[in-house]
Amino acid sequence: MQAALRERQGAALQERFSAASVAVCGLGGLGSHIAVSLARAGIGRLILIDFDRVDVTNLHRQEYKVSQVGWYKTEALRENLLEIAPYTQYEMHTVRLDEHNAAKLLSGADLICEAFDGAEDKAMLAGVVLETMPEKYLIAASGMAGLGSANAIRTRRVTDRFYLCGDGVSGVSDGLGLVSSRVMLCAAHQAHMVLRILANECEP
Amino acid sequence: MLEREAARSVASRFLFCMEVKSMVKINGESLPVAGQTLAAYLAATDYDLKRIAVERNGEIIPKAQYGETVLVDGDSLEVVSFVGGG
Repeated sequence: MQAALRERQGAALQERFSAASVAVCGLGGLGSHIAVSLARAGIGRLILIDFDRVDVTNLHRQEYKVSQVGWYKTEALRENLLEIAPYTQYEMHTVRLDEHNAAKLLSGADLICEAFDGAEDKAMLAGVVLETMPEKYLIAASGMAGLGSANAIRTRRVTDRFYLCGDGVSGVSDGLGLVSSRVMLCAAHQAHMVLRILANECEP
Repeated sequence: MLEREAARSVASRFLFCMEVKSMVKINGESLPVAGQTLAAYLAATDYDLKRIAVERNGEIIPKAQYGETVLVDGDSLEVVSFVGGG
């Protein structure tokens, strides 16, 4: 499999991907898809964090199966990822990430993907990472609900190490739910920015 | 006549400079808020402090420093306001 990836992506790039450690915070619609993309690309180590269990209401947009309803998302995603990319090292944390445990959970990560659902959780993680972990990259997401244009989802570079994906405005509200295809677009933007940064292409 | 025009031109240029100098750019919009603290500016807006991150001239401003951060002429800020969904 490593040989296949080297052939596809080039040895130099593959070396960078397999040496990288990326954290994904939240394993819902964004995080489960980000993790799959990064695992397929051959990222060496994925630190995957979520406290929640797979619910039947998650299946319309998250990378889980009916047979996994009730499992911890960390357990279910690990099983799915091992079938896709067994050569990646998976470090699963079944815990709610907060200001107090973030430093410990994220210490091994070079890049961090924010993939939470709640706006306050997103801002909390952005605050902790940007204020206390200046050496790490943060790729966050805001605005991907509803059926708005796919082309409104984009990646912006806010500071040297802070990237923001999404349309910036479409939050979840009454009558504006999350649609798999648009959430996946945003997740793909995040995963793609991770790979571009690792390839030294730091502009979105 | 020419003198008056020249004077007007100088005056308008001067005023233009004054205007530019006293402005702070926030999310792309020039606002006359130089001299205010970031905390005071935010308090006068609809932003929810629990949902934002603030960047000034390429650097993130820690939340604990909003009260002591004075907005200066020519500053460029972005208030990132997160919305839910993921």
